[in-house]
Amino acid sequence: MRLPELQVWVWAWKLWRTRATQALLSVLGVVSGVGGLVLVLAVGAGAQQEMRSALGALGSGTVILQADNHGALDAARLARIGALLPELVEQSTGVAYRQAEVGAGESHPGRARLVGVDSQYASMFSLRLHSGRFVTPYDVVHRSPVCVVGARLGRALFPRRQVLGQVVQYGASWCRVVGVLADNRTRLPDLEGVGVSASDYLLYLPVTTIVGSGSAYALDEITVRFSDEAHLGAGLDSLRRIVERQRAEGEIRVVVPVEVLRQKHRLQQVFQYLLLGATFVLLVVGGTGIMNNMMLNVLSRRAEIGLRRALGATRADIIAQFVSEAMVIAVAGGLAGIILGALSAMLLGWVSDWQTQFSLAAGAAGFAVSLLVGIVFGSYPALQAAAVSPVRSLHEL
Amino acid sequence: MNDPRAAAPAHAQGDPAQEVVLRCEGLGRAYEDGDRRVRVLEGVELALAPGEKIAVVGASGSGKSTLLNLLGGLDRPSAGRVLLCGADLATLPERKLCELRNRQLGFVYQFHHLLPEFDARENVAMPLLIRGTARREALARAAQVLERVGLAQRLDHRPSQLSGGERQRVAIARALVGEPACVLMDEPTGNLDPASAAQVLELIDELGALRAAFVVVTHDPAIAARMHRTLELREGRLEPRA
Repeated sequence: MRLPELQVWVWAWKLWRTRATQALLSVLGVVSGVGGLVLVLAVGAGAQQEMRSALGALGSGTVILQADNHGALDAARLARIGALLPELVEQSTGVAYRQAEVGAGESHPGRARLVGVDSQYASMFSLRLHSGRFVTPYDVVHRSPVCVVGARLGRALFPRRQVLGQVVQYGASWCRVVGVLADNRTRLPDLEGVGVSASDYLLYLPVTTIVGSGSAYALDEITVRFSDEAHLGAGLDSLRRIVERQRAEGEIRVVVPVEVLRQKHRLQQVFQYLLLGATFVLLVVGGTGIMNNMMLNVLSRRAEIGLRRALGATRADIIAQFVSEAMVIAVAGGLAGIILGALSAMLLGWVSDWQTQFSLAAGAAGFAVSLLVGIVFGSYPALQAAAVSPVRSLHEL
Repeated sequence: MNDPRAAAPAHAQGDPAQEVVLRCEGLGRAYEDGDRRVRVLEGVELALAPGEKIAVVGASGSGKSTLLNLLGGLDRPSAGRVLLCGADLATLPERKLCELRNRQLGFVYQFHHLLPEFDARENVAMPLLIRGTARREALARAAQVLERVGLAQRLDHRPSQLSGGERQRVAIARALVGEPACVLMDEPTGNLDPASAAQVLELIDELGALRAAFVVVTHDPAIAARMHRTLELREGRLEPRA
């Protein structure tokens, strides 16, 4: 005789509803275990998303040369790199950075980063415009007093006004806003310090406007994109030789952003493996807690088991009943763990520079694992329950 | 009070053509105790007609509960056989045995064994739910039976909210809800105060109108007096009591 499936769950639910404290104590391990699992998956998904964004925005063949001291890089060198490696280099751009107080009318939001760029910059970093245009070759040649503001800086400068066409003061100079960037933070990897910034608190100007004119104005960075990742190795060798030859003029660092990202992700992977190990331990501890609780249930409910057998329940019915009770409590813990894991992932994203991403797949994995814990750790007590002799148990009172 | 023996069914009055609900043939049960073999029951013969009510009495340790377990298919005999509605309990596979027990037997124990998490109606519906009856229908039938045993106002009460006598009446309702061919009772008033015991006895009398046969194991002469026959277990054998 088979018990109707719904009835088994009703009985299981009623049991735990009347033993809430016992249920809560036995399920803590599953809550933390599933929470940890969801967090691991969210970190992994976030890292993959970050890598995809980086590759989409930068390309896998991008190299950045950074000058450690002023004058090590300049526009002439940028031109020479393009000329020396014409078959490898797809695109190149030079950037100069400054810091300045920025303001507009009554609004003085404080210091912002000025980014001196040429017309290649926006396409190289796949920057999206919200409105207007980016810096043009004409602006660079004529040192036009124009600027493009990042989305956040635009909102800070002109909280309730249209940004385009406004005048912005930076230091003692002025520029007119010809473009406003869209929110690029979710697309660009956050690699502060290696030349790529996910911050939108930036003011872009023609590089010549902030560093001066001529054919050899100083740059802080040169970004080179090779035609594809296969050319990266050969291109890097050539770049390093060029850099080596010019060492006398100052130290130059060669940075491969994708490699930096990969290193960061390797660190995240170590964290993931550690957390996964801890999660496994927590799940085993949680499952053992449930099993222990279920064993106590079997002992304390021997008369009930005997009665059910007397009323016609088969051994299989008893097994189904006890496994379903373990599954109900494990899944309840699993659902709480999924919520805990999602909240932990959000918190980790806020307090660190790690991108985390909770997905339905992570939730489904947490649910499946909790179900599995219920089945695995509920089976032994269920078998013990099925082995209870109705003759003995009914006369134990 | 009417003499219940006057209403004894045909079989009890010796009509061999009458159908038999429960039959024991040469039933024996022995246990191993170290090197010793303890014979609890030996050569027990019994035939029970529909609607017949018998009492089984005997000294403590005479094997009354063992007999009840064998009649209910909860234990396997060492010798002989038990036939319930014509089926030999010892030869049935587990699933068939459980199904037969669910449909043709009702149990009432000295301790009511009600499930504390469930209300009276759910406790009574338990055999039907185990059988696979839809929950709504099972609860409706349970309510009808509870009404019949005088507990219409206690449907949603949990066992802890019921008196001892009420709990035992719920247990009797649970035994009857599946309309079994036979009800096995083990000291049904053994744990009750005199007033509650009297209520339960009256209920058993009222249930005489049912077609179900009753086997009541008891120490209580008052219960035995209400049965059609009283059998005594003595030295492992079941004999009519004078």
